[in-house]
Amino acid sequence: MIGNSHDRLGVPLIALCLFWLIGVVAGSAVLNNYVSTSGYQGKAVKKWLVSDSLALASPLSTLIMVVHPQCSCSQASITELAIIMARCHNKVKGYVLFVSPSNLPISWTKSNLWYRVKEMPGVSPIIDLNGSLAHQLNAETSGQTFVYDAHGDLSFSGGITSGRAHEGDNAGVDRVIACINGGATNSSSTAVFGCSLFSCSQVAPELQTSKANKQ
Amino acid sequence: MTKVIFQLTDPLKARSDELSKEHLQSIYRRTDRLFAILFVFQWLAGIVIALVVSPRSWTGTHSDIHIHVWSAIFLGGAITVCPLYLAWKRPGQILTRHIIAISQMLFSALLIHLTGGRIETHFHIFGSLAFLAVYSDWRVLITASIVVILDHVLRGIFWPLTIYGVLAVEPMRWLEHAWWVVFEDIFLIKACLNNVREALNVSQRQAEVEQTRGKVEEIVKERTRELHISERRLSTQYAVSKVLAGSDSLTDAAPKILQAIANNMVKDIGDCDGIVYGEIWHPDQYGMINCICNIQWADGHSVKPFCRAEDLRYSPGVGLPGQVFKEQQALQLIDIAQATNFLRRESALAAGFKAAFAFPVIAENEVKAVIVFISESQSALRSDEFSMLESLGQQIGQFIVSKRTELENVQLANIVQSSNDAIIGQSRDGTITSWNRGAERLLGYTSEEAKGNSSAMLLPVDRLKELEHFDLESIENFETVRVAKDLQRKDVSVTSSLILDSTNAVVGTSLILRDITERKESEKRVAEFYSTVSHELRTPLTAIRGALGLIEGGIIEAGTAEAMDLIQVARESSDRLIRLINEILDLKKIEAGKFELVIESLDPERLVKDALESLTGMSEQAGIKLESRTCTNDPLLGDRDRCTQVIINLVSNAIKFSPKGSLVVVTSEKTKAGMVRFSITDTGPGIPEEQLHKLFNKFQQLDSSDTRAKGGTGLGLAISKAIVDEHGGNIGVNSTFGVGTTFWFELPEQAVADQKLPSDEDDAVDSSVASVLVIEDDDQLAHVLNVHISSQGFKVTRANSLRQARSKLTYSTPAVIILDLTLPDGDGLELLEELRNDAATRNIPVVVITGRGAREGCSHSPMIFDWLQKPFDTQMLIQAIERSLSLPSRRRVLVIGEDASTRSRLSDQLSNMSLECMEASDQDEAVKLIQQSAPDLIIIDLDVFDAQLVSNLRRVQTRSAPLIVFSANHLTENGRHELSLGVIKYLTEQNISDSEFQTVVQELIDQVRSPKMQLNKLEILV
Repeated sequence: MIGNSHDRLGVPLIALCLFWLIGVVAGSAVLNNYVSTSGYQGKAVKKWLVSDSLALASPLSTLIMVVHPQCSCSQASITELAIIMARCHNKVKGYVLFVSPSNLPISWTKSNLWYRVKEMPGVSPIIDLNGSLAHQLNAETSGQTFVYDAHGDLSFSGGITSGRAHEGDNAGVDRVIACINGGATNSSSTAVFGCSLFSCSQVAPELQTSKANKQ
Repeated sequence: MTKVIFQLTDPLKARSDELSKEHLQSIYRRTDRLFAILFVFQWLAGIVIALVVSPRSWTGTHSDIHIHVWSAIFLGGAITVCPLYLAWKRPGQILTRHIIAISQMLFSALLIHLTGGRIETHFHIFGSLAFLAVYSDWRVLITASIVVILDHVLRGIFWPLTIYGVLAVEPMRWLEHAWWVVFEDIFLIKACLNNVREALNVSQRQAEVEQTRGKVEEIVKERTRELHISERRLSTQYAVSKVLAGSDSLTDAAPKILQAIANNMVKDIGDCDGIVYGEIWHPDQYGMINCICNIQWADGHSVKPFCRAEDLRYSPGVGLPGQVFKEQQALQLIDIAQATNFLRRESALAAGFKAAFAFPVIAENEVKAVIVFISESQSALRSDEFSMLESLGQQIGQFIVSKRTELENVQLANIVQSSNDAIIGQSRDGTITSWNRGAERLLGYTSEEAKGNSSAMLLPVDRLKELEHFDLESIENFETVRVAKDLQRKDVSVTSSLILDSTNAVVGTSLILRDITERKESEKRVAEFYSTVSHELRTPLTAIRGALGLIEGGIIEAGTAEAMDLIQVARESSDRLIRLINEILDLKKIEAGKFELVIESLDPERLVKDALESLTGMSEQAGIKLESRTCTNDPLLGDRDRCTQVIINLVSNAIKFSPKGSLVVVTSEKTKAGMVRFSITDTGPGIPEEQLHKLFNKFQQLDSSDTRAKGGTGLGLAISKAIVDEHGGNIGVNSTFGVGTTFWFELPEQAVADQKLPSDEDDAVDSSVASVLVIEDDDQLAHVLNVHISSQGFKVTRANSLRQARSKLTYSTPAVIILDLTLPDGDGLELLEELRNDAATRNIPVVVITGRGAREGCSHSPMIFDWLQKPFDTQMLIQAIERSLSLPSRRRVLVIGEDASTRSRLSDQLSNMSLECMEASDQDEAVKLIQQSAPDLIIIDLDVFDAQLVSNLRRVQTRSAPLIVFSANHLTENGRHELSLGVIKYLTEQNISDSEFQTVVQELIDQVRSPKMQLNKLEILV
């Protein structure tokens, strides 16, 4: 038996250690709880909407992700998007809408996320001035992703991360890939983990009402 | 594969466990510190990561600090603080490392969160496990793994999406993650166990090494101590040896020995650097032991000893020195205060001493000395230190013995070197190995020349066979011949001894060669002498016997002229025999150193005259003319008879060797050196120059053939030389071969101031009234002496024994005593002693006649006037008697008178005249004194003259002393007539002064000096 008299533990010390352990476990639980808490998710538009900025990539599927330019949680969403694009090469056209408040300079919008997306093949970054497109798509949380098939019908809506700012295998990614590959015909949805795209003052009155009703 | 099995003893196992525990504890502590550092780093890194990756969370354009930042700071801090505290305060404890394990796993989870769940960050878990394996404590890994598994289980239950990316709970999904952790744990735990086992092995080996090193250290320590003791012993022995080497005795070396031991040993033994006192005790011839030296040191300086040990004497067994002396072993008193046999305890304690030890100096199984040291240190001596002291004592003892042996060897070598005999050492093969100075003198070779050569070079060719004898046996006084360096043959007496080594093997021979050349020559001369003496003795004896035989046989009728001729022949032959015997006896005296002289003032002319007269017959018979030529009348100092004998010897030799008709001249002259030189010159054949030096040797005649032709014993010149030497004079010879020889001798001249020779008239003493007591037991000799002495006018009384002599001396006091020492009832010296102790007889002169040597064993020289050895010339006896009576001894005067004041006054006057005065108050007392002291003068103080008194006094006197009648009244004519004899002066007190009285007395005393004159004057006066 290895040990000596110094290894004899005092009850106060052990109690203190237990108290400490409980504390850190609780802290970890709080953190986990935060990570697992999803953002608000609006009702997705079922049919591809006509826009000058966005064109349906028929016969390919079209993927649209709305992100907050400064949201650190969206780094994980972009990572997962890169995985999807890698796995579904030439089967999908991607767009990442960067919500850009008009009162802020464009540089605020063109964050490192912007440049990261810009470098990503098959994906185009688009500045969504004042979030007009996002509003059209009813996107509320950064990282929310929409997939439309070649006919312009919505096949997926939701998040593609397992938690806030948390990379890794998750159901969102699996479903997106399945939709692109034509495996899923019915539209599906997953929770979205990220920052809110809009503050309360930026939400349109009709949306605010709708939101309030949901809540 | 070899399996090592450790069979550990309990102490070794315990030490091994202790070492392994220490080793692991060291690892724990070290790893705790590393993790403490890591935690701080991780905390800071987490904060940085949070700030970089997710600094803020946004809601539209509004943002807040991201919860990751706060988690990094606070949750990370919380995770860090506990292990940090424990690593700081309780490093190495089991709780610390388990808390660290828990914290580390929690920190992995936090970092994963902070990095957005990146797969790369998950490697932090595996890295942490590997890092935790540094503890080499597999339980830490278990704890960490449990934390990981619990994290996965709980999160899989409560937040499955965030950990597994699924929406629904999958209960067993954690197993997949846990497996990989367990997979790593398997290897890490095995590594930990190996590390622990290795540590245990290392500890066991280290324990063994330590045990071995401990043993080695003990051995080294023991050896070092032994070396130190040995070093001390050697240094002490060296110092003591150095002291002893420079000393001649233990007494000389004692202070230095004490100093050496104190410096090299004593202060070291008890770590004593304070006061030390040392002393050496030595046994005396009475078996007591005495302190011969004591010294005290204080801080290295010699100071006055605390006690006067030199005044102490102990018996064996008494006191510490006595006890050591008796028990012959070292002793120690650790506490003087408790010692019962330490007699100086009180003074030692007062001086600050606490302990003492002593050890014996032993040699030849006896204690030669005891060395004592007293100190203030109470350290007990160890057994090896005891043995060291005893060894030192033995060393000193051995050195004393070796020193003594060395001195003895040196003395022996000196004896050998300084021996007059030649002492030669030679090996068995005859090679000379040692050669002393006696050998150098005898044989001429130096030591360097002789050593290494064969001893055969010393032997004549005809004696080489002697070598064989000397090699085989010891030989004493073997007379042989050896050849010296100059090839001269030496007569030697050889004594040889075999030299043996320690195994009794003969390694050589020592030879002692004594030069017997002189002895040989002497023996040769003695042989010739005996031949001569035999002839000289037999010849006169034959003549005597023949002459007496003729008379006895009636062939020649007694009383006739022929008979007288024969008697004369016998008389001359007996004289010749006496001379020969005297010469031989003189020679014996010379050799015995008992040659004594009676020194007196002598007239050279008379000496020569007397000598020549005695040789007249011889010279006439030889037809030699003797002539005396005296050139000095200065007297000389010498013994008359001996000086005459020298002249007679030399002249008789000259007569013997001079041709008939030649002249022998005897001259006496004064030399410039204050000597009187006598020369006897002949015209004989002369003496070869090379033989001149032999002339005065004993038994020496240049030509043996001369002995019978010329007569003589060969002793004359030797005796003459001895006589002259004894006088402090010189004797020599000058000779021209073929021309003649002059013998001469010189005697010291008497100073003129001392010169006063008695005249022939003074010597003419009429001894007819002086009585001579002859004490001689031999009737014939006594008769002859009686006739001779009586014929000279002396009155002779004879005693034939001591008893008779004492009787005669009781009634009369003789003027002279003739004493034979060998008497039938005792030794004559006894009588002499009695005479000397008696006041009445101590001044009587005694002439001793005896066969003993001159004054042999006699201490009565003041009384003994002369000593005549038998046979003696009666004329010499007569002369001795006459001389004894003329001695200027102190004269005795008897004063008789009733009036004490008158006697006292007369005595004072007589004492002033250097006369010995006796007083008698009445007739009886006077008679007694006369009989005892024989006064030279009698003075009678009478108020009324009493002729009867005078007559009575005359009757008791042995010789008539002059009388002075000192009376207040005039003596009547009738009274004068009654004083028919002896009274020569009649004085009346009123008519005479003191000076006149002294004049009368002096005249009478002077007359007493000469018996002859006294007699004459008495006759005239009567």
